[in-house]
Amino acid sequence: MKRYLFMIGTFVTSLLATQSIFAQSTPAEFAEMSLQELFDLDIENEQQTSPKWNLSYQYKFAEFDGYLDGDKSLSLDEVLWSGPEETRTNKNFPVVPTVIRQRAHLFRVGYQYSNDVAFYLSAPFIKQDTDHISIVENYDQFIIETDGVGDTVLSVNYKFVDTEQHKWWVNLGVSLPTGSIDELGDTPRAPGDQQLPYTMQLGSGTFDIPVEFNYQHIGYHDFSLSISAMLRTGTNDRQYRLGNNYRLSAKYSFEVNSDFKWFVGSDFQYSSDISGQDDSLLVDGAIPYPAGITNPALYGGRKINMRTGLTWRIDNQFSLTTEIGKPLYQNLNGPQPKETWRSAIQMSASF
Amino acid sequence: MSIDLTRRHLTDFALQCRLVMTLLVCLTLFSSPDAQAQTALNKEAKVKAAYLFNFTKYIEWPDSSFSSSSSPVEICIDRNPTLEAFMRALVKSRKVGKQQRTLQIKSLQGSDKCHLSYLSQDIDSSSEVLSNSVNVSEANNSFDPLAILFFQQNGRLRFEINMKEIERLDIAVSSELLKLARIK
Repeated sequence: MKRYLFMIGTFVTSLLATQSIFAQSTPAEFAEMSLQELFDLDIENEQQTSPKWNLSYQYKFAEFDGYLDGDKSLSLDEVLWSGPEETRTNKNFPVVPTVIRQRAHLFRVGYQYSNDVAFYLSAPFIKQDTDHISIVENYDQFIIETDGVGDTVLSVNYKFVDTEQHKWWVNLGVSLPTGSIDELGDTPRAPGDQQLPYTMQLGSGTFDIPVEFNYQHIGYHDFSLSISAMLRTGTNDRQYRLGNNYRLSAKYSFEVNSDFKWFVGSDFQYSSDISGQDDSLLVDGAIPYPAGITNPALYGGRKINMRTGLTWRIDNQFSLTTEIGKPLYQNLNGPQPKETWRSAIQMSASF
Repeated sequence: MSIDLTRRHLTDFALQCRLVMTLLVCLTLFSSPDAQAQTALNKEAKVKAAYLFNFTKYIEWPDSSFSSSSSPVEICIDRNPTLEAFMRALVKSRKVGKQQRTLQIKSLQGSDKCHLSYLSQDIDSSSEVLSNSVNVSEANNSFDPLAILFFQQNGRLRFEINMKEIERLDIAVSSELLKLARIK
């Protein structure tokens, strides 16, 4: 916790330092101008007053609890293979993750190169833990945790329509494999630390391509649509490639007053399963997967999520956004842990 | 190894609460008036905002248009939250007129009283609240009645005052303001 507070403090301190460098014409300065000064002021010879830099920090949390096979709920008893007296199948396992919690501290820097083009660099710090139950002696209940830097994303944003009422833009980037795919932990698979399953790794291990296409109708009643994808390329050093993600999102937002904006949104998300496999996760036997999360076929599926939140425009530089979301429908390649809810808090500053 | 799931859930919730509190404290501490004053508006919009403030210094509304001697001058902004926020910062702690009235900046939408209104291009002409307001807009706005119109001349922002409208509104405009205005 102290580490997180230190990171936030460092970030805010850097905002302040940046603010003093880029401080320009203020409302107070304009309020002091006389009528004659306003009358004589050259408004065409404008110095740069639009913000050039954008810094944001986002804390995201997601929790997965319970199991789905397709859209059918499964109890932990159904997923846990209880031993030789029960038939072992592709749908039950001697080790079962029960609750997965994922947290990400996402830092992003943006630079507005021109009115239409902006560049972004974002890097997450990820912390995740998973509660397990198993039939293995001394591992009847255990927790696995990992944390570290995730994949870094460089992207460019291009606005090709930007009017007072309508905005269209595309975002294209590259995700660099800076997140570890070699995280180790103590699992029942063997004594000591071993390679952890795909969910517990911090990165994809591949160069990926995030692409996003957006439309926004601007006004007191905003409406926006977004189509986005994370396209994976190649195969990582552990001989697998995470599934592609595709998302269709819609969001409506309403100006509660000049400071607060409330929004509600929904998105449809499709993820494919993992290609290839990390052989170090397997065990000997007819069914080599000790847990569902070690089987690359048991990833991906379809989800429909609802989310709502509030944006507080503290002023023209700072904003704070909180949101909470919950899946309305999930159809997963299961048995697979199902998402229960997620939330996010974001602070953003422009200079 | 035993685990207490309930305790872990509470820890997550507590972590998020602490983060929200930390962010709020940081924002409160560091959103100084100077920081809040900065804006993404272009220079022309800022100059317009400064003009709107100045107009309230050189226009006297009849006492009957205020509910009390301490009532503020109400400035309404039509569908422009960014300008509204800038104006709010601009007039903060400032007083105008003989009565040294404060200024209240608000959105035109939902307002039932405005002393001065800044209108966008496609304003709904049926707005009743505008009939008793000093309406300010751009020269190419066809909305009627407009009391003050902004226009550009040689890279400068100028304004035109419609005297018929001033008389109709029964307001007093200072000669200093009229001296700089183009009179219609």
